[in-house]
Amino acid sequence: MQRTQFETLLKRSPLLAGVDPVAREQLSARFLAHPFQAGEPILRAGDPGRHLGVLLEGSALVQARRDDRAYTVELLETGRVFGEMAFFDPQSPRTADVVGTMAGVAALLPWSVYEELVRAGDPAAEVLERAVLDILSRRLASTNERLGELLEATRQGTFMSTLRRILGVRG
Amino acid sequence: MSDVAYCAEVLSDVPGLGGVPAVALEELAREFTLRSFDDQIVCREGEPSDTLFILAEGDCEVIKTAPNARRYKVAMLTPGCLFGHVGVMTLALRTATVRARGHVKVLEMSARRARQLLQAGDLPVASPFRRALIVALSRQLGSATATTMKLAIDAGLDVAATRQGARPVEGGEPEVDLEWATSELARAHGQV
Repeated sequence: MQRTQFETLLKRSPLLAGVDPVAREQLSARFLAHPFQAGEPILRAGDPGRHLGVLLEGSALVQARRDDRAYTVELLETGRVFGEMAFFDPQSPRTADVVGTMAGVAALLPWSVYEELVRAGDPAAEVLERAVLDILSRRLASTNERLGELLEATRQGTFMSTLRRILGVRG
Repeated sequence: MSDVAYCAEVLSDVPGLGGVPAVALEELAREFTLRSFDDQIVCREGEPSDTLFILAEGDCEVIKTAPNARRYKVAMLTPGCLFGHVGVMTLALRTATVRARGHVKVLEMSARRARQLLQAGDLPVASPFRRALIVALSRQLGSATATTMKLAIDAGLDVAATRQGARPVEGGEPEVDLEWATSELARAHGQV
């Protein structure tokens, strides 16, 4: 993928689409393009490098390992921001792998770049923090709504059908 | 030790605030009020989320009432825990009750002030505050998503393939332990 195409996709992603145009230009120029294949790790548990990621093309899953077994804990679709917890908390090591399930491209922002923006008092750092917070708040609001629905469904005897609908499972 | 110094020390243990310079932590500490509770309710399920808290000393239990009217103890909070922020961010009502176990000290900030700080561009304390909230929200989302996945796997759904429209694993309707599912969901939903 060409750099210009990469930046265009990034600027249209949920992370940057709503931010002011100047910060959007600045931030998109600082992300690294990371192409990946199905089955290939994008971020690994225990990696020393800290990156904030956005999935621009393809799909991925978050996989935790316990007793030599891998467990899928989340499915990531295009546009999804990932890796934010280990990125913003230096004391929180990455505990799961992010692995491609369909070939694509991720945009990765190295911690050192963000740190430099913060140190320089660059408004782009603030824009990025607010954009991540906004995405997480919206995601949490909808997650809570779904959990509330599932909880209610346990009482109404519709748990399985509600779970299927929420997860998009047919049948 | 002054209240500000005490609050700054508490803040240094909050996930996301590690490594923040002492001066910035003291500035942020000035934004909080110190309060004590003795075996009392700190915030109540169903009420408006008008305050966020950081537990400074002691333990609190988080209690959630499920639709079956049973009350579940869904979490224990320990010093350094940020709570009460979910509703501040999402404007939703409290989804659980937090009760002090014995003597407890908390740092509190009004939701209004919290929202101002989150929007502030020129305050040095705003960035660490935003980072602490990002980490707290992200942890809760991770735990909530993992719960849904755990339930789906237990219910025999082929989770990895669901987004491609896959059918559930063959073998008839799986039996789900609804009591277990309810307590798991209460835990995940009991985010304050």
